[in-house]
Amino acid sequence: MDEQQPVSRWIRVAACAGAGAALLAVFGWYLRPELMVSLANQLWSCF
Amino acid sequence: MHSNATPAKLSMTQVVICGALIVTLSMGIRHGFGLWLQPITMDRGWTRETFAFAIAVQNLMWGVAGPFAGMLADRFGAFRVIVGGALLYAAGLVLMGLATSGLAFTGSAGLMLGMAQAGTTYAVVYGVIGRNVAPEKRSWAMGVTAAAGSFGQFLMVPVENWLIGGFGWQQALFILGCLALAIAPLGLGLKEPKAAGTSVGHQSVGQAVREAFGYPSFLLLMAGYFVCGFQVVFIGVHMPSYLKDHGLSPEVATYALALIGLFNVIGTYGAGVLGQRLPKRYILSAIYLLRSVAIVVFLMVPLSPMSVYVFSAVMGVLWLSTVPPTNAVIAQIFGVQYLSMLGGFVFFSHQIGSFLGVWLGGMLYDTTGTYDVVWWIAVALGVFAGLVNLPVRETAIARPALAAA
Repeated sequence: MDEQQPVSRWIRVAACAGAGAALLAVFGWYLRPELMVSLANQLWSCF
Repeated sequence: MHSNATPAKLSMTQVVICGALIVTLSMGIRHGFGLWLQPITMDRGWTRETFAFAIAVQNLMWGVAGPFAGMLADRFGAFRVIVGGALLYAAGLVLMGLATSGLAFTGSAGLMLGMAQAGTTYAVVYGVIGRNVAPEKRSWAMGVTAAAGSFGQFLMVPVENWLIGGFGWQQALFILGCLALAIAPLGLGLKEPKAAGTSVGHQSVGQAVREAFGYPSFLLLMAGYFVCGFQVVFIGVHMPSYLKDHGLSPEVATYALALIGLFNVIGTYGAGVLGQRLPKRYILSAIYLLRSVAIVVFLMVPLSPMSVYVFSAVMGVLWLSTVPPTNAVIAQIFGVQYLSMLGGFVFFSHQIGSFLGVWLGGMLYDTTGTYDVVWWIAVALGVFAGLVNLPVRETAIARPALAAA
């Protein structure tokens, strides 16, 4: 059972940094003009 | 707690990683289906109603099949249900791409994918987490898994957009079908030894269902989750139309979508972490009340791109953050033997709320010419859900008859 073992602080920091970087990378993808225009057209065409 | 009687059998790391990846794929793939509306309807010569009907059936089927998928997972093991769900997911996506009639499209994109989602999303995975993660870490583990599902939703919209642009809509569906197959081997990580999953045998299914539906706190949780579905899906589906009506540019809606996705990941994880420290009924109550406050402020301040971004970020934090505490409370009250099934019932209530959020949004807009009435219904429901979660009893239910047996 590994839940009893404390997770090293460095592993936590690395996991948080990795998750944060992944989130920002995906957010940055949304902000690229070609995706922005494509998604915007999709959203607006539904109404 | 009931769960203490069940020895944990799988490693927490294994359960969390595999569960998170399964939910990432399952929730992610389904989240971008709206991107197929234009290419499919244009290519097949269908109306948007044909497409929308299939997606509505998918959402209802996801809810209806949830308790049954959960029941099978609790009885025969989540691994088998997940493998079945993955195969159904892949087949449904391929047939969705091949369907040439509205009926075939509804059967594949609606019925098959709805059932597949019931077998590969939160309720089934949470049953394994409940049985294999110690109670003091359970809410956190559920938060990680829910955050992974939120991340999948956030990630897969641009991925699916890229697939459609690069390979065409039909090939993109086939590629997603292959991706859905990856869920099956990940299910191996949730394969429980028999003692952990299926043969504890304190209660029958019927006893568990009767007990839950006779227990007021379960009904209160269902009522809250109904509101969650109503609010989230109403906003998700109708907010672009609301922004368009008020003259905002389509880019504002895309930014709003991105902000909701980003903050949703943070909110779901945060709710799981908070669930380890605070009574979950207070967390749920706060989430629903804060949603109402956010909507009221959004309606009261002059509408601008900035007000939309702030609202989207706040609603993003509150978006799926109800998922970890709701399921963790069910585990606390009823134990983990039928956690997937009971989670499925609560999720069914969520999907009824979702259906009404979409339908009432459209119907009242057509009747009144604005979304104002539905926004205020969403506010009132949020207050209602905030209040009904307060008396939820989080302590384990007493079972004198079973204890004496």
